[in-house]
Amino acid sequence: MQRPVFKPAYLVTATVSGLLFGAGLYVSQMVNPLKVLRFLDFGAIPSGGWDPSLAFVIVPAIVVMFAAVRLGRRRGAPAFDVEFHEPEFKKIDAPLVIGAALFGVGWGMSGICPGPAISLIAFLPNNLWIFLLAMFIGSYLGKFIIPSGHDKRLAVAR
Amino acid sequence: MACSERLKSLTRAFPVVAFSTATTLGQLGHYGPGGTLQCQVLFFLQVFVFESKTMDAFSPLPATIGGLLIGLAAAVLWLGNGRIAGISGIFGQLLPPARTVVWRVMFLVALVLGTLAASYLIPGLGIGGPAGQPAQLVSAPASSPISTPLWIAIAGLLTGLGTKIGNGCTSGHGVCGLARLSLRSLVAVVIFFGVAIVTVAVTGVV
Repeated sequence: MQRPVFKPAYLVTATVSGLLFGAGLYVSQMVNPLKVLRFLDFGAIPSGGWDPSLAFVIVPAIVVMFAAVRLGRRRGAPAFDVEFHEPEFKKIDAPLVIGAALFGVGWGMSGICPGPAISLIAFLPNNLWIFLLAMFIGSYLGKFIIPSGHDKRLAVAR
Repeated sequence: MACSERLKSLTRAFPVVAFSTATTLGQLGHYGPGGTLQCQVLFFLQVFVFESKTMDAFSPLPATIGGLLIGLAAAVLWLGNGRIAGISGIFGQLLPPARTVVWRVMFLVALVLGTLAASYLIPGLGIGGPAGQPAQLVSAPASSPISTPLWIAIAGLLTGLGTKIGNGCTSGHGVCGLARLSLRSLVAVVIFFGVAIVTVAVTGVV
């Protein structure tokens, strides 16, 4: 079935979601790499320099999304598409573990994950374009590293 | 007022514990007759208002409101379009097929505009916007033999590569995956948080 990806309601939904997401990243200050790093800096817990804010961001976000997932299961289908694009692939495999570990190193080095990396374009800090370009190249290279069948099975997720 | 001083140092030392301790002590009337309510109000103001204003301090109220907005964004995309608001996935699929690229581009442009708009509507929360401090990326640690641009490039490369291979980041696995009670996402989240914490400890980038 042809998916209604060009319908106005579909595109408006994507836009509204992006706006809310971007606002959330600013309000929570997760756009600030230093703030994220201060959460990851568990060594600062004894001295009182630890900033637990990130936990206060992710938990409410998960709770709201959890409710949405529940509501979605009851409704059966999203409002503007024929089905939920639920990831079908459930196996915990090497690409998942290795990928998460590599991302962990990058995140710990910079305090930037993909959401803030893009929303920081709003403020254009120095060196941001280096990060974005490298992230794009990394993402593109990743395509050739993971087994092709694996990528296809996961495509539904994204 | 002695209690406010004590609360202040407590807050600095360990915000979460300080919050519950102060609340409990306040309820028990530990700060003397008449002081209880004042202490609690002071503490509340301090933690939720004043501390939130400073860039790097613990800021539970903006964090929670921001988290609710992010959750709402993910909920809108899921209930509207049945799509997971995973930024690395949306970003990583920017190349054709063009049919599915349009909504992704619109989402990402809106992501930037949402951040920009919020920084004008609610200025001075931290970095960015007309009243905020200038946004900055980290510098390479002093002990590191490589330059800052190279440090940033390596971090970006690993972030792109890792999220592609591992099929998700903080939003896709962290927010959406955990909300869907996905075991795959839980494993990914534990690994990338763990590795990031170790990376910060080893590199001393903060």
